[in-house]
Amino acid sequence: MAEWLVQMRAISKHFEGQYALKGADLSVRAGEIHALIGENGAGKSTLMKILAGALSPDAGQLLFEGEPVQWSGSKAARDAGFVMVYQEPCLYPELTVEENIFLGRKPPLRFVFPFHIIDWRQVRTMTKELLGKLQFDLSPGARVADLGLAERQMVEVARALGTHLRLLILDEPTAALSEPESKQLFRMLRQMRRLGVAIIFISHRVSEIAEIADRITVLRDGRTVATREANAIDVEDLVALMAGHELSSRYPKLPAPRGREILRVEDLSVEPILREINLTLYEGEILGLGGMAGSGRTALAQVLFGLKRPNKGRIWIEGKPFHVRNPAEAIRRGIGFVTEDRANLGLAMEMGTAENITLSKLQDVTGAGIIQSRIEDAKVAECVERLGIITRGLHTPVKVMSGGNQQKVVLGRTLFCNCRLLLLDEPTRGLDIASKVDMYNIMNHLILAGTGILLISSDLPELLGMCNRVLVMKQGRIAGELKGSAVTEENFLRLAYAPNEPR
Amino acid sequence: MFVAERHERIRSILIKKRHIEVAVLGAMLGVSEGTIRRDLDKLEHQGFLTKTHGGAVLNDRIDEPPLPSDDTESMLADDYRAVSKVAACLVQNNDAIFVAGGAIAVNLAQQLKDRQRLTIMTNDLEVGRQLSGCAGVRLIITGGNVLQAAYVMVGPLAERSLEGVFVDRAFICVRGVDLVHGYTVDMPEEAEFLRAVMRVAKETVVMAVCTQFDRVGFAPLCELGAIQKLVSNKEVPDTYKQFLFQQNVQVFTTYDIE
Repeated sequence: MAEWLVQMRAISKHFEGQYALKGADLSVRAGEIHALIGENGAGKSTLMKILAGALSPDAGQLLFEGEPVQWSGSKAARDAGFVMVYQEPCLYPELTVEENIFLGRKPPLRFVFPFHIIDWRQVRTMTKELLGKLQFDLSPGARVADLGLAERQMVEVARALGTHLRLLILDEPTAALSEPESKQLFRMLRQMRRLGVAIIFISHRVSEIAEIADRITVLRDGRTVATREANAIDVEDLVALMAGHELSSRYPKLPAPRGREILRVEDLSVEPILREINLTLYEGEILGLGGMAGSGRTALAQVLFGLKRPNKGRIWIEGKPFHVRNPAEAIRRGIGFVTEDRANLGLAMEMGTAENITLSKLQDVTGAGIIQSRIEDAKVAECVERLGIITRGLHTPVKVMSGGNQQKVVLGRTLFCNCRLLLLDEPTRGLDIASKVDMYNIMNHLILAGTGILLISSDLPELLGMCNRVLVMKQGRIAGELKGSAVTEENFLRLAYAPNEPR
Repeated sequence: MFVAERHERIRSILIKKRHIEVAVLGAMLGVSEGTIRRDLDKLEHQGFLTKTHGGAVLNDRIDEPPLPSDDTESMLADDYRAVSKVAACLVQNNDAIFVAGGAIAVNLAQQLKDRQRLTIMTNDLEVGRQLSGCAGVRLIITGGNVLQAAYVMVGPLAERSLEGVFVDRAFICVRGVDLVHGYTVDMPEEAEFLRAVMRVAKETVVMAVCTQFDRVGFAPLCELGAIQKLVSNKEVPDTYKQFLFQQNVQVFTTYDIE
C-alpha cells in the first residue's frame, strides 16, 4: 500500500472564540485526486489553508511523508511543493503567460558581457515544455488579461507545477466555470495525477466529485465525518453525510441481553499478520472487527476456524480451552464460518441446497451409517422455510441461485450445526439490499437465540450499525475498541487511519 | 396431521409465498407428493389456488376479508404473535411507550405482561384489559370516542389526553403499506389520532404482517419514510425492504431460529 504523502490529524482552529475546525482528519497519497466536500461553513477552506501554510492550527498534527511539520508560512509550504490555487487566480493580467509562470522564480539566464540577462528563448522553450506536459492549449506569449477564467487557472497550475509540485490544492475550481471549461479542468487534473501529483479539491457539488475523485472526505461542523473510496459510495449517501444523516441509522439492530462468555482470546499471534490479539465475545453480542484491508481481520477469523495455525496464544470456547487444529474440530466445538467467497470456502456449487446444508453435520441425518434422505429432506425443508430461501428444488445445484440465496444456504448449514459462535466475513458483500436486510435480521435472531457473532465488514455503516462493540485493527494489532455511544465513524477513522507505529 | 390441518397449512404457506413447489410442500409437511397433489386439487376446486407444472400459485383475490380482530382467522394469528415478539424486543425496561390499537398491538401487550418498570399508554380497550393488573406496568388509557366494531378510542378527547405526554416509542398498527400511498388505516379519525401520537413519540414503530403490503386502506396516515422502524414477517416483498432501507427506516423481520 502506498504511503501517505500528507496526513492531517485532529486539526482544530478557532477564530475569535468560534471553532471553524474541531478535530478534522485528512490523508492523501501521491497521485491521488482527493475531494473535500461539505456544506458551506463546514471548514473546508480553513483546513486547506492550514495545509498550505497560510494559517496555523491551534491543535492537531500535520505530517508530510510521515514526518511532523509546522509551516512557518505559505512560502515554506510552497517550497515543500504544496501549492494552493484560489478561486481568484493571483496573476498579473498585464503580463504574458510565460512571464507569470516564471514570476518569483529564478529564470534561465544568459551571459551577454558584462551582464547576466534573462534568456527569453529558454523561457519560451521551458514554458512550451511545461504546457505540453500538462497538455494545456495555451500560447506562452498570450496576455493573461486576454484569457478566460479556466485558462487563467491553468496558468496558475502550470506556475505551481514548474516548482516541483507535490500537492495541489484547488478551492472550488469549478465554481465559476462553464460545463466545457470544467471538463477541461478535469482533463488537466487527470494529467497531473498521471504525473504523480496529489490533488485535493474542495467542492460542494456532489455529482462532480463522483466523476473525478479517487477518494472523498466529508467535513461537517468542523469535523471529518467520513472518508471513502469514491467507488464505495454513491451520490445520495454523500449528500446525506454532508447534511448530517447518520447512515448507520438504517440498520435494524435488535437489542439482545448479554449472556455468558463464548469466546476468549489471549495473546494470539500469527507472525507477521497478527500480533498479541486479546478479545472477549459474549452470547447475544455482535462484535465487529474493522480496519483497512490487510489489517489482519480475516486472518483472525481463519485462526478461530482452524484454517491457520497460531504461533502463540490461548483460545477458550465457552470457558474451555480450545486447541484449534482444523475446521472439523472447530465445527465440533460449535464454530461456524461464513465468508463472502461462497464458491471457494462455502458452497459445493454443483450440489443442491439439501446436500450443502447437511454437508457439515452428517451424523444428524445418518442412521446406521447410511444417509436417510427422508429425514435429511425434512430438516432441510425446515431450514429453507425458516430462512426464506427461494429454491427451484432442494436438489437443484446451488450455482443457479442468486447471491443472497446462496448466502442463506451457507447460513443454513451453520444453523444446521447449531453453532454457538458464528464468524461472518463480509457476509453481505455483493448482495442486493433486500438480501442484506434479511441477513441483518437473521443475525438478530441468532443472537437472540444465544449465539455470539464476530462480524468482519468493510462496509463501515453496516459495521457501526449492527455491532454492539467494534474492534479496530491496524497492522495485525487491535488499535482500539469502540463501545456504546463511542461507536461513530469519526472515532473509527481516527483509529484505523492513525499514523503507522515504528516497527 | 389431519387433512383439514394440512389444507390450512398449505393455505397459510401460499398466502405468504404466493407460489410453492409440490416437492418442497411434501418435504415440509412430511407427506408424499401424491398426497400434496390431491390436496392441491381440492384447494384449486375451492378457487384458492391454481395448479402449475410442479407446484401451485395463489389466486389473486379481489375481495379481501377485513383485517381480523384478535380471536378470528387463526391462520394469521401465528404471524401476529411472531411480529409482536420481535416488536417486544424493542421495548426496554424503564421505557415509556404508546401502543395504538390493532390486532398485533394486543399480541404485543400480551408479550409485555411480565415486564418491569414500564409505562404503557394506549387507546385500545383490549390492550388495556390485557395489561391491567400487571404489577410491573404503569398503564394509562386515553379516553375518547370508541370506534364502531373496533376497540380503539379516537377523537378530540383522546388527543387531549396526549397533552403533556412524551413517549420513547409509539407502536402503531396499520391497514395497508404501499409504495405510492404510504401507510393507511381504516378511518380518518384514527389517522388523525395516530399522527398526534407520532408527534409526541421520539420514535415510531409500525407493526404489520406481510400480507398488508401493497394494500391501501381508506384513510392515509403518512409516507413510508416518515417512521423510524418497521416490524413484519420475513416475507415482506423485496421492493419494500429495499425502499425502506434507502429511506433510513430500520426493517425488522421475523426469523424462526431456535
